[in-house]
Amino acid sequence: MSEEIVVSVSNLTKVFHLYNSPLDRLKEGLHPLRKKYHKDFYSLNDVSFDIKKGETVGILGKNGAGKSTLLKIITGVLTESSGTVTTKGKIASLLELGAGFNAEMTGIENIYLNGTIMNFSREEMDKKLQGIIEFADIGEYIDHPVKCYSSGMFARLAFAVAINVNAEILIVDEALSVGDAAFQMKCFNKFQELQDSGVTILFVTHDLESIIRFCTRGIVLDTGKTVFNSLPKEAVDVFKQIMTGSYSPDKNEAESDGRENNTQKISNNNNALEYGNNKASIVDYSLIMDNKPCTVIENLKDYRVTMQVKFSEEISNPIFAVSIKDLKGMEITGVNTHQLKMTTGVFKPNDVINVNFDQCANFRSGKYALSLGCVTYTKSGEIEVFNRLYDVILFEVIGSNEFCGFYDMQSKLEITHA
Amino acid sequence: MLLKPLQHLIYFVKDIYRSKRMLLELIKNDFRQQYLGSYLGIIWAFIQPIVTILVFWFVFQVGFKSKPINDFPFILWLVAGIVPWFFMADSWPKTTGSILEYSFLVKQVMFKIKLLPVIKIGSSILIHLFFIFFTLMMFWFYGFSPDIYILQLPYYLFSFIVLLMGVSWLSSALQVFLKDSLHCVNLILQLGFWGTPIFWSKSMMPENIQWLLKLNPMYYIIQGYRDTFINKVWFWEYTNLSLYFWCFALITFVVGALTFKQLKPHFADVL
Repeated sequence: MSEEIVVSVSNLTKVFHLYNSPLDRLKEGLHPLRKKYHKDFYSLNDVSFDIKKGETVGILGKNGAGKSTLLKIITGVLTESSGTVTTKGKIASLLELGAGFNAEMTGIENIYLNGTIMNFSREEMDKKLQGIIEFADIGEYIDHPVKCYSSGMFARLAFAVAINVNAEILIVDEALSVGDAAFQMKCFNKFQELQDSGVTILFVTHDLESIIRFCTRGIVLDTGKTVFNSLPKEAVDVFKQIMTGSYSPDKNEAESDGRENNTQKISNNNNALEYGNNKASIVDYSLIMDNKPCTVIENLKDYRVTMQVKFSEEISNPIFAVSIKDLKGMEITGVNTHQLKMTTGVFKPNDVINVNFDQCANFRSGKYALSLGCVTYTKSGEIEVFNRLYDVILFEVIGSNEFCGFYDMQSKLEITHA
Repeated sequence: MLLKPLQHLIYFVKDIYRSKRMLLELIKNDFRQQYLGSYLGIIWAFIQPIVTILVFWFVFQVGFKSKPINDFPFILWLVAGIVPWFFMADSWPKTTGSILEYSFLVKQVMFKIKLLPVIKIGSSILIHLFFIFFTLMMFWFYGFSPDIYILQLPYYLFSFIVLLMGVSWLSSALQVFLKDSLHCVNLILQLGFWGTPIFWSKSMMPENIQWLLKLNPMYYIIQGYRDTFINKVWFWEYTNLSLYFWCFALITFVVGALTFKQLKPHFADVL
C-alpha cells in the first residue's frame, strides 16, 4: 500500500432539496437571485476522509445513513452541495442494478456500450470481451437483451465489466448481494487479486463478515456523519451498536471502566466493548474448565461459559447469548436461548441468576474472543439490548489440530469393502 | 462578469469536440438501437418519410395536378422544403426526451450528459443525409442534375445544426423537470410546419407582412435548401437575413448551453 491518496473527501455535505413540485425545482435552478423553494434534507453532513492507493474500504451504516449518496458523489453521478471530492485515476463503479446498461440491448452490446463510455475503442474492447464473458459466466444469455436478465445475472455482467476495464478505483454498492454464493465468492477472490495489483476498492455491504475479511479499513456512517473510521473489526462492532440503537460515542471510550459491582469480573481484554440499557446487567462471567476459571482450554474438552445476570426491572423471557469470534472478528460460533427455543422465565427486579452454557471445545487451536449478551425482542421485533459485552474474554484453545478449517467435525470413519 | 460564462461555454463546446470518438460510437449505437426489435429494423427510419413524400407526389402531381412554381414541378419544390423540416421534426422531440431515455447513463459513471442531445441530433442526421440523397435523385429523375450550388448545402446544414443544438439543450434540460416540455415542442413543431413556407410559397402572403415570416429561423433554412436546389442563389446574397439568423442561432445556442450547464447538477437528483 502506498502513501498516495487517491480519494480525498473533505467536509462533504449533500443536501437533498425536497420540493413540493418539480416546477419549484426548475424555478430555483434558474432563479437569478437564488430564491429558495425547498426544504433541506442532509444526506451527508460534513464528511471527511482520505483513502490511499491500494486500500479496501468498507462502508457501513443503516439504510438512509448516506452510504450510497457518498459513493455516487465520489463517482461523480451526484453533485455535492458543499465540500470537495477529489479522485485520482479511472473509476469503475457498480452503483445500482441497471445503471449503465440499456435494457433493450444484449449483453454483448452493453459491454461495448460501456466500453465506449469508459472511452475504450472497439478494438480495445474486443480484447477484453472474452474475459468479461468468462467472468460473468451467464451462458447464452449474453446474447439476449438485458431486460430478460435476473438480478443475479445482471450483477454478474455488471461486475464482470467493472473489474475488466482496468480501473484504478473500484466502487461497489450493495449490488453484489444479489449474486449467488458461488458468484460472491468469485467476486471476493477477484477483490483480493485486485487488491494485490494495487486497485483501490470502496464498497458498501451489509455483510459484516466480508468487511472483516476483505477490508483494510471500515467507515461507519450514521445519519450522514462519519462516526467511525479505522479498523474493520471495530467498525463492525460500532455498526452493531448503531443497529441496536445503543451507540453513543462517549460510551465507546468509557467502555472498559466497568461498573461498580465488578468484583469478580475477569475481563482480560482492555478493548472489550460494553453497552446496553442495563435493565438487566451481566455482573459476572467466566470461562470454566475442570471447575476452574481459565483462559486456556484444551481442544475437544468440555468447558462452561457462565454469566451472572442481575435484573433491575421486571423482564419476561430475556434471551441469553454467547458467541465466539476469532481474532479477525469472524464469528466462529454462537448460540442463544432464543435459538434453542428455551423459555427463560420471568424475572423480578433484584433477581440474580446464573446462566451456564456447557459445550465441547471442538475448534482448532488459536486465539478467540468470547462475547456475552442479554437481550430481548421488543413487540415491534427489534432487538433491545439490556447488556452486551463484546470480546470480554480472550482465550486460547490448545491441542492438536488433526483437521482442517475452523472446527472439528468429529467424524467417525469407517472403511468397508463394497 | 461576462467572461466566466464565456469561458464555461468555450470549455463546454471544446469538451464535445474532444469526445468525438465516443460520440460517433454512441450515435451509431443510438441509431441501431432505435429500430432494434422490429423485423425491418433501420428500414423503418426511411419508410415513413418516403411514404409521406410519395403520398404528396400522388396527391399533388397526379391528383390535384398542382401548378408548377417558378416553372418547377410542385413536388420538387415541396420536397426541397420539406426535407429539412423532416429533420427538424424528427430530431427535436427526440433530443428533448434524450436525457430521460438515457437516464441509465446519467446514473452511471461520469458520463458527459451534454452529449445526449448531440447523440440524438447525430442519429437524425444520418436519416437526413439519406433524404438529401433521395432529393438529389428525384431532381435528377426530373432532369435537373446537381450543380455548383450544391456546395452551399453543408453551410445550411451546419447552420441548422447550431440552431438545433441550442434548442435541444434547452428543451432536453427542461424536460427532465417538466414533462410538459415535450408537448410544447410538439406544438411548436405543429405550428411551425404551417407557419413556415413549406407547403405554400411566401409570395402567397401580402408583401407587407412577409418580414414576419422571416423572423422564423426555419424560414432561413428552408429558403436556403430551396435556393440550393431550385432558385440557385448563394447564401451571402441575403446579408441581413443571414445576420439575423446567426444572431438568433447563436443566442439560442448560448442560452441553451448555459441553461443545460446550470441545470445539469440536478439531473441525477430528479431521475
